[in-house]
Amino acid sequence: MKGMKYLPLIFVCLAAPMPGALDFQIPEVLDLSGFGSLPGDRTNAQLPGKSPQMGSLYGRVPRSDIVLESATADIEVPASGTVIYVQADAPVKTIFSFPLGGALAILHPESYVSLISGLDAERALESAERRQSAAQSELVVKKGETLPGGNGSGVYPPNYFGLRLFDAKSSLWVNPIFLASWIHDRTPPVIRSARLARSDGSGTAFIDLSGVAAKDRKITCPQGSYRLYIDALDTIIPGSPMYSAPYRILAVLDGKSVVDSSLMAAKSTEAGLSFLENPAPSRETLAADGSYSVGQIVLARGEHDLQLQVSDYAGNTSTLKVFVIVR
Amino acid sequence: MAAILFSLVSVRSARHEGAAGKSVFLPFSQARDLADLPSSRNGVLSFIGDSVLGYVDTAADRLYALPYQGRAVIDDQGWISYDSLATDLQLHGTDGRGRTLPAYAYPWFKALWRILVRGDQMGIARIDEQGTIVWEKEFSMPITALDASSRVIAVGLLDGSLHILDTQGKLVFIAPAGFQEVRTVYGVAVSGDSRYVVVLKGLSPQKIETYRQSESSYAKISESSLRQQAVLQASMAFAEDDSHVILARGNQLLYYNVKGNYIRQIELNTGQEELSGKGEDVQFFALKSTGGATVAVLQIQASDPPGTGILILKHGLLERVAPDAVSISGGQGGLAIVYKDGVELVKGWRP
Repeated sequence: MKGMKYLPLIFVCLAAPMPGALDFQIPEVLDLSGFGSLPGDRTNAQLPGKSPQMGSLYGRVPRSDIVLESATADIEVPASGTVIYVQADAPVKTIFSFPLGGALAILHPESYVSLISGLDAERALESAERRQSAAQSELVVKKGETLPGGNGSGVYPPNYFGLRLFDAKSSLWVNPIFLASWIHDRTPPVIRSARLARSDGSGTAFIDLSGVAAKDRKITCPQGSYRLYIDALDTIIPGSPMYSAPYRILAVLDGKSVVDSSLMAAKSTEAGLSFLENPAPSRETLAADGSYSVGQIVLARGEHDLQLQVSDYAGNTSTLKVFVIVR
Repeated sequence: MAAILFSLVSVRSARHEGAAGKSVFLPFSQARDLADLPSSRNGVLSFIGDSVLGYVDTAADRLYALPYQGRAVIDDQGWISYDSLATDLQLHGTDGRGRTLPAYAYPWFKALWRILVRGDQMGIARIDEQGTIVWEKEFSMPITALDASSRVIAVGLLDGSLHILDTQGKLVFIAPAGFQEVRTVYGVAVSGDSRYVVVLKGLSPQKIETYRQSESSYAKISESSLRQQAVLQASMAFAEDDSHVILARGNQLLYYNVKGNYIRQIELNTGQEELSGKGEDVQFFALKSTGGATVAVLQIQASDPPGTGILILKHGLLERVAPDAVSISGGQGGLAIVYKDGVELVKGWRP
């Protein structure tokens, strides 16, 4: 029975794109906010639900990076590679600085590219150049070396860094959470709301699946095609004030899986980023209130058992069961 | 096969006396309130200093200024102040009225464009004077370079792709991308008349590529390899006459002649003790053209607080030096050189 407990984790790990040849390790840090999370979820998590304006805030889209809070002003390089791009904060306010602040892009084996942001890029570059031998034309960094963050940079306060990983062969921004073996997450995600909305345009009203009392969770709706929206949060580090998006959302209708969507990666397309199999750009993934659009469900006339399973990357799962009467 | 010109010749610049007219210094201590700014914008230049922003009425020699905290951008229609965390954007009209802009982004203004660069650096939105989003575009990679003329905006990405969009947000040109070889865009400059886009990209070799407007799109017309490669993001600015681009990265300044397709390293001899700084401690930023064949460059000396100065280069040769200046604005009314304590208005500036 004990082994059964870890079955979901095994399944999830197998489903994730694992950069096998890449020796990549997310440095051990105090806290992190995961891939797919919305910027600002730290404060929003204090609220019982999300306000209608949240989704309309420009730039509030699922993150393609993870945010790391380090115990120090430094961050360890997750994998060795060649530095291909350095961006620095301008030293004066009259010059435009980009939001990622000091940033280093590193080319790794197997066409993986990582980008570490929130750095004191000038000092990072200086130390990399000091290590560079006269014969070397490329700037290389080694796994485990530290890069300085200084007093914060770009949108990152002191001791905070951004880390993203791109698989150039598959054109995917990869969720790197599986490359943090030091994390032991045993807390399941919290489902804050789950709703259905008619996807055939015949109505804009939401049907709330989560607002009904658990013992009498029964809804009635007309037959048709519905889009499923989930608002769920996950805490990866116990006691953390930083929240993450859930990893996988499964909808089971009468025992049959009808939605199976995950944040294992975001597809890179000409129109932008595609999360949870929604079309790009990434704002298509969100409803106006900031909840995630996770898939489509067709409800035929009759009575149905609908089960929603929301899991984190470690396989911890929260379940919501609803009895649906379709007229 | 396109001819690749390896021409990286050092030229030593000497300071030239500028063809400037009368200069008037307008101290911030005597500046008027922004609420008193005349509604007519003829001959009014917007400026941004390191802690003060405002407008100069070049006809009346009057300064209208307001202190600001955090960061800010300004144009003829008003300004946006913001914090580094990108969570507190305040939009102001020239009447001083302000409101919160619901965005997680940094604002970027240039040549009539008001752009929001998304906090994750993977998207831009064009906004109007009221802060309403006119259009937005998401990219699949972080933005590494940005420049605009009045008609197009050019966006370079980490993967080497170059996107040129028109004022309606329609893609008019895209250059290919990929990581099979490093093609990262390190800098981009668009000529004021939109005819040319010059891009610094790639490694081994690092190239300067020139694209020329062709019907409704752009086509690459030349490329030139740099002998000295660097992974640093660069700032680039076109001269108004389209003759050349000044490229700055770290302590290096390069002159790229667009029509001749050759590159020269600029070595400065400012003749100014306070600007002479040690090579490694100096950083340059290409700002904008100040008319004709001139480009303004900001020189920053590493110290606490950083020492600054504006250099105006004409064809890469030093035309004018403004020690301690922090920024510059230009227009029909003249040139406004911004210092920590006021603005020097150079009237009749004819480079």
